Amino acid sequence: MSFLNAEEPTVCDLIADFGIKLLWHPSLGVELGNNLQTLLRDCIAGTIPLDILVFEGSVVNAPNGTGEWNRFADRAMKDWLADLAKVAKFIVAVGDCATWGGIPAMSPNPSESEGLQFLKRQEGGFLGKDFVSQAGLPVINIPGCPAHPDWITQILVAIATGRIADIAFDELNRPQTFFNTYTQTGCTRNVHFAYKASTAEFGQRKGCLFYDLGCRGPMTHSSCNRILWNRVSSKTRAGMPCLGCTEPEFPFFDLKPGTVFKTQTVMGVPKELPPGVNKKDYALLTMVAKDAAPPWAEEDFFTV
Amino acid sequence: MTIQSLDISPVGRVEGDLDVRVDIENGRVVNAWTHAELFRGFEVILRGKDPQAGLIVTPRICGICGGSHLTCASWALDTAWETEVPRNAILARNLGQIVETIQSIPRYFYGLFAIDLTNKKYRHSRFYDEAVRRFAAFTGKSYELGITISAKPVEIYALLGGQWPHSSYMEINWGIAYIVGISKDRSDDSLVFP
Repeated sequence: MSFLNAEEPTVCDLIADFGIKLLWHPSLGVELGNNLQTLLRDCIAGTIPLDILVFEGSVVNAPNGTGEWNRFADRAMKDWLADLAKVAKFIVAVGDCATWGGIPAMSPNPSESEGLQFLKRQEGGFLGKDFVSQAGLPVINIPGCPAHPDWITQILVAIATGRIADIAFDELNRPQTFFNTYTQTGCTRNVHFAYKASTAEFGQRKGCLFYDLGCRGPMTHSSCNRILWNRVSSKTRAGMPCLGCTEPEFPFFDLKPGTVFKTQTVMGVPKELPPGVNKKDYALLTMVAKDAAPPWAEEDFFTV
Repeated sequence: MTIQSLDISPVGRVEGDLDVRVDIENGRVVNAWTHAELFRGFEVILRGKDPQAGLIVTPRICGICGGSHLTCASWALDTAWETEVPRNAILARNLGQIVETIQSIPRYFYGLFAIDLTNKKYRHSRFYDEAVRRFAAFTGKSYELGITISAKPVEIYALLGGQWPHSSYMEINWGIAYIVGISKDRSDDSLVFP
């Protein structure tokens, strides 16, 4: 349903303006029951060309590799997926479940879930490391829990208009256009980050959430603060720490006791630093930043 | 008279995978079963985790009503911890719930239900052409309008929680949303809860 919030372009624009013919969607598709089963079999047989297969949800293998814990249209979902993946020109995995396994694959992973080509950061997944779709590309991963709707619609437009070759992918097969910068890029709390002014408890507009509340904005690749959510905000802007949900390790630390909304530190220094920053430089930076911090860095300057 | 069984797999246009089996006798449904064959084990996953994990995991059970799951998870923790939930936090939670519900109304009607009115089986109805004009999936006049504006109410949720769906903003104590924090000094609770 997050998909329906897409703005640039909207879901209706996809169909009306970009000429995408939607064969089926679980919540929005027209066909039901046997009609759908026939449609899917026609796709597998090649009678109906399947240009883009968008898959949401983890691949459930339980129990004992049968996939029977997720049955769909009278078969195990993973069997449908295996057949459709052979004929699809492009495959797009949407959301953490489909990309890396997501929350279902979190310890103890009762449903034996995995993503299409990854399980967490480990390559392979259901389709295997070397899998390529008919167009010769691996699965295009659009992670996030949820994935931003505009990331989805824009990638679908790029495929439909023949421009997907213009898009570069990172080592996790994420489109760089959305996943090259950090969640922190564009965060309104950046000025507080720079002066090491912390948000010590929830419910404050001042301060940075990285130092105490476990925000993963500096380490997470996403465009949440460049392409805003629901057009108006982002988690970090509203004061909710970034959980790192576009990275394969999400939910981080398996949400073990003491790891939730709490920065993991050693002797007061965050265990994880922004990528490329070493511990010694970070300590130096902290001293200088705290010395240089103006008094207003600790004020709630949004309230007038 | 024999009983005829009808298996519909999948039913579609629901959130998640659903199958329905009905028994029909003399043109009447005499028995019916629904089954949703997906087990992810969220309860199993949450065992032994940080209590606040519930605020992260439970909303993600569902793509359309995550706010309801978050509300329940928050209240469950508040009850267990005997938190005194401030009135402004209650307001922020309720606002989130309200706008999520408003969001779901046009989505249910246009996205999930009204499409069926354009089914070819109704083509002899004198209302058929009008139904298609209004409700055809993605291109119907009312469909497009209804689906597009259905994204608006949850902008309020995003102002409070940063995004819809899947924020965890209904946190214990003051709520994560900063708006709750600032309004605690400024608002007069007696106006809201006379």
